[in-house]
Amino acid sequence: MVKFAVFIVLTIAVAGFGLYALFPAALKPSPGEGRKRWAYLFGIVLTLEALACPFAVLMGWWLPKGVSTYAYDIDLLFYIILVITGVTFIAVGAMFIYILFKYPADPNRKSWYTHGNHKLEMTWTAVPAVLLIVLAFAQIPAWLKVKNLSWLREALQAGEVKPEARFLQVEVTARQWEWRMRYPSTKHMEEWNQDGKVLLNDVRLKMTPRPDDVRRVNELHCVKGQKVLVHLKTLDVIHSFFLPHMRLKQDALPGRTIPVWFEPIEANCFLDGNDWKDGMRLERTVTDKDGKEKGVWVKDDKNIWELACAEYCGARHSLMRGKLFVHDTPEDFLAWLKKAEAEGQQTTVAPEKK
Amino acid sequence: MIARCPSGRKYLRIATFFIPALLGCMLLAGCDDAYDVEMLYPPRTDWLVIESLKDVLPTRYDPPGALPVDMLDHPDTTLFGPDQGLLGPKKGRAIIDPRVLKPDQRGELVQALRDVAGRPRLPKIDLNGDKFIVEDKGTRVHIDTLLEKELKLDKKTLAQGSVLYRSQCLHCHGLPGDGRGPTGLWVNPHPRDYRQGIFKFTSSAQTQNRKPRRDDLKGVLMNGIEGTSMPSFTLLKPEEIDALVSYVIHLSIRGEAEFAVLKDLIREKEEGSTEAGEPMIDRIRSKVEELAKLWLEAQKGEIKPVKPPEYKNDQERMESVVRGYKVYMNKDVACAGCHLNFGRDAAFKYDAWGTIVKPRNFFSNMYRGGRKPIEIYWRIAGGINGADMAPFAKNPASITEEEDKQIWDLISFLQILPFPEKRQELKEKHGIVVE
Repeated sequence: MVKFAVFIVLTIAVAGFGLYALFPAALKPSPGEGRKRWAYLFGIVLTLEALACPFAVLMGWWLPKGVSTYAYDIDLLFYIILVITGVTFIAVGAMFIYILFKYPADPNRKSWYTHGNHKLEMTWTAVPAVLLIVLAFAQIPAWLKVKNLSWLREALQAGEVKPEARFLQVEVTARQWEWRMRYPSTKHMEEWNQDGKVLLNDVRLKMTPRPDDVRRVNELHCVKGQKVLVHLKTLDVIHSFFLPHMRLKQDALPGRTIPVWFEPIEANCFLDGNDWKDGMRLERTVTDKDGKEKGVWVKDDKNIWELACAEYCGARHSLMRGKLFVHDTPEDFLAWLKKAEAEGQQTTVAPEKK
Repeated sequence: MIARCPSGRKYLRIATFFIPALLGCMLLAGCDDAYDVEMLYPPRTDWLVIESLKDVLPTRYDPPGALPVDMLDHPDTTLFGPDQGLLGPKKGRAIIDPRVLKPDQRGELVQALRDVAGRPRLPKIDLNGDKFIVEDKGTRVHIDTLLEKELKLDKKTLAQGSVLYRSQCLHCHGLPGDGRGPTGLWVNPHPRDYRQGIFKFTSSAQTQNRKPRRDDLKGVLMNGIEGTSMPSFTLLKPEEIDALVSYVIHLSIRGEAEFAVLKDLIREKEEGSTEAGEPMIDRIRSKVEELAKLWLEAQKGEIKPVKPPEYKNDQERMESVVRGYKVYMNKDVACAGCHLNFGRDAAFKYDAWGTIVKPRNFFSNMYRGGRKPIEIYWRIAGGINGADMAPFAKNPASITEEEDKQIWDLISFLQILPFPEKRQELKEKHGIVVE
């Protein structure tokens, strides 16, 4: 697939360069026809560029599924900016090609200059300025929503979290080239669930390490419909914590612990035998004979959610990836945590191979 | 200029057409992931550390860019600072130079190694010959079959491992697994040199020449090594991890056989023996057989704790911590001899590879060999190979109940050390000051 795309692009490039090399007139500053070839060339390139956008949508090379509470705000901003820049791009391109066609070099024509036209300069300064100011103000609500953590501030000021607003805390430490996660133990979680003050105290202390913490590498687990507060750290260079499906990106800076949050609105994993399997979608729930509700999960590649490093951090930067597991219910998450905890506290040799 | 010179224009035209066309062809062809078929593992040319360097005491870590033993060749004598020249007197006795051998002898060695261990593209461990029949559960089988079955050293797995190793490991661990890849010199601790056949974190119940079990190597690949530059490879498929483990075992067996034979050859040369000695291929074969047996033995089982500890409440756990403190302070056990002031004032040392290490600081909450209690148990009971950490158990294969209890108490004690509030509790309730 990728090779095919590369092939198409290269064929066009090679054909373009070939045409250009075979028509030396294009190089020569001769009057009339020769100059028009430039217009053809730029016309083709610009049209292809403009067509690449709808083509990408058709091929599915577009934004991944947005599954956090603020994904909509981010996407809306993206589309507003895309429309504004897209319209500008097409208008400027069209004008450019039109002028190339209309006025090829002509030794018999006397040139005239627009330099110093006050009105024109005022216009092309004012229009972008207004656009940029509009964008600058339009993005403030989304920025505040993602980066301001107002919900957490409010809770900290009130000194209490409502039971239904309990959130999960995870410490994520980036290093060359992996993500190390530290989760609370089940006991610790229990304390949080019983008393919101303990939870807030841990926010203030940035989750001080405890002997019973649960540690995992490259696996970020959380629960659908529950806020996750990530204490983001790095041990070496600058990394960037990027959850494309959550529309969250935050640089990790050496020496600082940065709080970031997201709230997933869809689950992507379920317990399959002994292991949690991701890349699954909950299609519907059925009630079995005993009156228990059971989810029907189907495989869906769009539900493989990646945690990537988005800041070049060294040779293996491209391989610095993790996986995001969103559990369907808090019980599922606790079950996973319990298993991970037992693994971390293992005191006996592993049982014989299956 | 161009317009006046027709030949210049022609070249320009050719270039504008052919360069993109060439680039396109290269991209379409892609890259081959495997090594070239003709390629051989390079002969070993770096210094061999054959004896412990215990009595050399460095004062700091080595500067980046070269390993301490490689510094013996380095033209800039100021790089190592005050520690420059520390290893100098060890030349010839503890550290020997394989380059003293005649080129034809080294050529023979390369050929012999190629016949037994293959080449980067087609790695193998192949002990053809009727000699190498061993007993296995009452039946007589060829050792090659056993290696394939128990250690997964079959050609297919090794070839897959070789391709993966090239893309994932080579830039630190180097082509023959010498820990001298381009990045390897710049990270500290330096990547493991497999050619010594020594692996630090092993759980096998052997008493000496302990080799790791496949699960140990797998664990390192899956979890990475905290506090070093070894990342986790959890995103590889299980069969890819398996292939990498096989390839690392292959590199280690090959490297250690080369190491041992080089050592013998240099000794013989120094002693001035004029006899031709055994043919090279036989030397390599018998060495590889010896190593294969060690590796096979290591797979038979891990160090098994007698009884896992059960702490009903925090108080029982704390009692275990207090007992652990007493074991730690016991002069016969001598933990504090190296881990001075609980590791905070530990002195630098040279390890078996001639790189500089420091005994663990227990306050750092960093566990290179894994933080699961069972992993700490293995390290205490069996020791850490190559790093001068002695085994606690007299015979790791059968640990006595007494030793077992002491080890679990030690683990309880070590596990609380990184946490200030726990140390405070220890001080207030039990009068034990570890600050």
